[in-house]
Amino acid sequence: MVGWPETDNGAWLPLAGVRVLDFTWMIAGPLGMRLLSNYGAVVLKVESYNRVDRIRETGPHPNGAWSFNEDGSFNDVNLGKRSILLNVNTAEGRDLAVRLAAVSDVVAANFTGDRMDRWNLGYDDLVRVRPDLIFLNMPVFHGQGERARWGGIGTHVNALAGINAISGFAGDPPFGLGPLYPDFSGNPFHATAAVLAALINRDRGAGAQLIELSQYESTVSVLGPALLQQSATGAGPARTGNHSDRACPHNVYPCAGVDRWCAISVDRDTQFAALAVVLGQPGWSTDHRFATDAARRAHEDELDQLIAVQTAEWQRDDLAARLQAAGVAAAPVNDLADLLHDPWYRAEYFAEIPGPEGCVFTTHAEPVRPNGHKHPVTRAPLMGEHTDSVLRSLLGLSREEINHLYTCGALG
Amino acid sequence: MTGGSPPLAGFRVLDCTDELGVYATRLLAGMGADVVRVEPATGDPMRTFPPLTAPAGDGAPVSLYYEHFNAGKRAVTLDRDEPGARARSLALVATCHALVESGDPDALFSRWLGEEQLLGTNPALTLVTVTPFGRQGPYAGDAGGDLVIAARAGLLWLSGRPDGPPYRPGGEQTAHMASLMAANAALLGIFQAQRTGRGARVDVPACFAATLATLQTANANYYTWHGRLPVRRGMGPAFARHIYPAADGWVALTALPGQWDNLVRLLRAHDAAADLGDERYQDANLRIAEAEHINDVLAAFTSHHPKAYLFEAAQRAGVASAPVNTPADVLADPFLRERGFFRTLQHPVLARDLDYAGPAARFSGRESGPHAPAPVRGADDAAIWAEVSGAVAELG
Repeated sequence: MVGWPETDNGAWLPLAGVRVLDFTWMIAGPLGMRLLSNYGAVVLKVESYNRVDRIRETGPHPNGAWSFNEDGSFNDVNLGKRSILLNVNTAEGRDLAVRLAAVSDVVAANFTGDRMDRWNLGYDDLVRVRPDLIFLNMPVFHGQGERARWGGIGTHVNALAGINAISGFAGDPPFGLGPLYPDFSGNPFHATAAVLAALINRDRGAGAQLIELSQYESTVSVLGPALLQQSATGAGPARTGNHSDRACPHNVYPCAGVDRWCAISVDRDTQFAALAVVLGQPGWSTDHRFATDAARRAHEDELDQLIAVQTAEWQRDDLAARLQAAGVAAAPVNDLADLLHDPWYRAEYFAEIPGPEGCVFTTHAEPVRPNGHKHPVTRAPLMGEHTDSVLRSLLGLSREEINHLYTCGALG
Repeated sequence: MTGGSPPLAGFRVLDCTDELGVYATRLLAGMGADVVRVEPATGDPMRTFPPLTAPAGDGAPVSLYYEHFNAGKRAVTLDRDEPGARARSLALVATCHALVESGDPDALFSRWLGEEQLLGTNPALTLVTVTPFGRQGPYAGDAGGDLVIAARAGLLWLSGRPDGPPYRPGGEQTAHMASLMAANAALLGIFQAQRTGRGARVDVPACFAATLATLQTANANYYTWHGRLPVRRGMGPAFARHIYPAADGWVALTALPGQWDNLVRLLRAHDAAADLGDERYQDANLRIAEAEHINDVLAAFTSHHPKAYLFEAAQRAGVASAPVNTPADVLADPFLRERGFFRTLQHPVLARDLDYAGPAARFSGRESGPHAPAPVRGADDAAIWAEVSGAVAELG
């Protein structure tokens, strides 16, 4: 019997033995390093009370007095990591960072462009102590000059890269997206793909590698066809709401209840006929306005309105199920509660983890499923939880030396 | 800074994806992998996807969708019904480090060839399968597509006005999320195989990948701890509004924590601060209470200046900002031009230069990004089958 290697407890740890010294904060960097952590790397998250990772504060927090150690968003993006306190503004703290880099495979940062260099912790500084280092730098902007120090958050990267310009309805301002999408998409996962490619190449002798990821560029990268269209035709796409150039009808339609919607996508005549039957309007498929894709497109707004009148009678989930059974792509427009009440999502996507101070985290686990199984995850670290153990085990420091480092402010 | 070979040079990836996984292999090709895209004898359906552009004179229109997502790949024609197709396919798989496939679970390449045959042929192979809703589970048989996946995943819910319908992110982002996860899965498997000789079998349900993009906005604990649901917020609540009108469009402008004094300085330099320099605005709670007024002052300022000017002036003053760029703005951005982000390549059918996006990340000292346009149908067949002919003979 041949088969792919089975794994213990569903865990797949291909990165076992890889160590990451992780200076990233907020979301885009940490979420990427989370992927490395979940698949076996030891990720040492460098933290300081001088500059607490704001995601420890932004919430949600459980009821009662909140602490840095129980924040739902922080937990989600830092699963399985180890936290060490290190004030790199002190000489001793910077020295420890260098010594930790010397025993790490990867160093990662997502500050404004030259921040690590200004601490003398840039690629050129650290490759001297770790000759095969993979160094990931992922600011919003890259390059020389003043832009290297400019910054922003996901909202700004959305706007900059063009996501706002091609999302939403033509009559509205370009609001952009509810989620700070770049922080969860191109930025973390282009970064990890690059780190993994560099690690693969290093294993065959390629040596050190500096990876420069500009969040602007990596977000533009997920809008490729729009840019090639602009380049080839001189006109890029505009905002078309939920309409599509490959399917019609293609929209969300109101259903029974308040703010309940069903998404429906039809890309051929047989599907349109099935939709018409399910909605009790079989005559639509022979109506000259709707009989062909071209005709439906020419009357799309009219068709949307007619469909909406019919869907308003339906329970959203019933309609989606009936349409799928009839061969039409459809799904409820789920909100968070819908997902949390869906048994499949609950069992196969979300994970529940006891928090360190009594709460229960419900966390987004990994979409990457080894052998088709859910990958187990563990909670994010307490602030500085692993400082002492890391300094003892990795750098061989004594209790007295560690005490001194606390006293002089290097570990705070 | 360039010249060295890209990091994945020498690794081969078989590409059996539809639109759901096609960006995964595009990304791997940009990092130097030899990506071989399997094309049915009837032609790759993606070659007809809009947007289309016609070549000068006669000739079928070119799909810019296909062109973008397949830049830097090779294609090989494979007719599954032809005698010997299975043996030839296995011979091809024997030369690959990873196979990335996507689509309806019943139509997958691995379903046709058999997972055991794939692994028997190549124990170091990593097989990555992207499906809309998983290979098993209650929705495994459902038809997908970007809108429907975004709906089920909870991603669609979050964008739009509170009193209007939700809308999906532009640019088919569920496919990009799924592809990003799939590319990482393939690389994790290749990393393992290089160390242990054994590959991996990895699934990526696209709906789960899309849900990951809601992680903070729809953090599960808002609901499990407080019964709160994230809602669509349009331009955001008054105290966290994020875009303002510019003279020529829109600009994103936000005084992040610690940047209020910088914002006041920026406004004063343009004689537009009104009363915002008053001491009382040092109180963050007061700024929330006075959000509507602050927004009015800001909008009065921004609407007098072009978005590019506002972006630069705000950043220089230490205030986070960005222009709301159109695709035309992005393509023309001198910053991206100077960085060489776009790769200008001559299109073989259109016979003119196009600007291709990429690379998403740079490997200092090494080439990366699309190095060639998308493959012309059939052009690589002879070369690819010649490369695997030894393996075909061996498999008999």
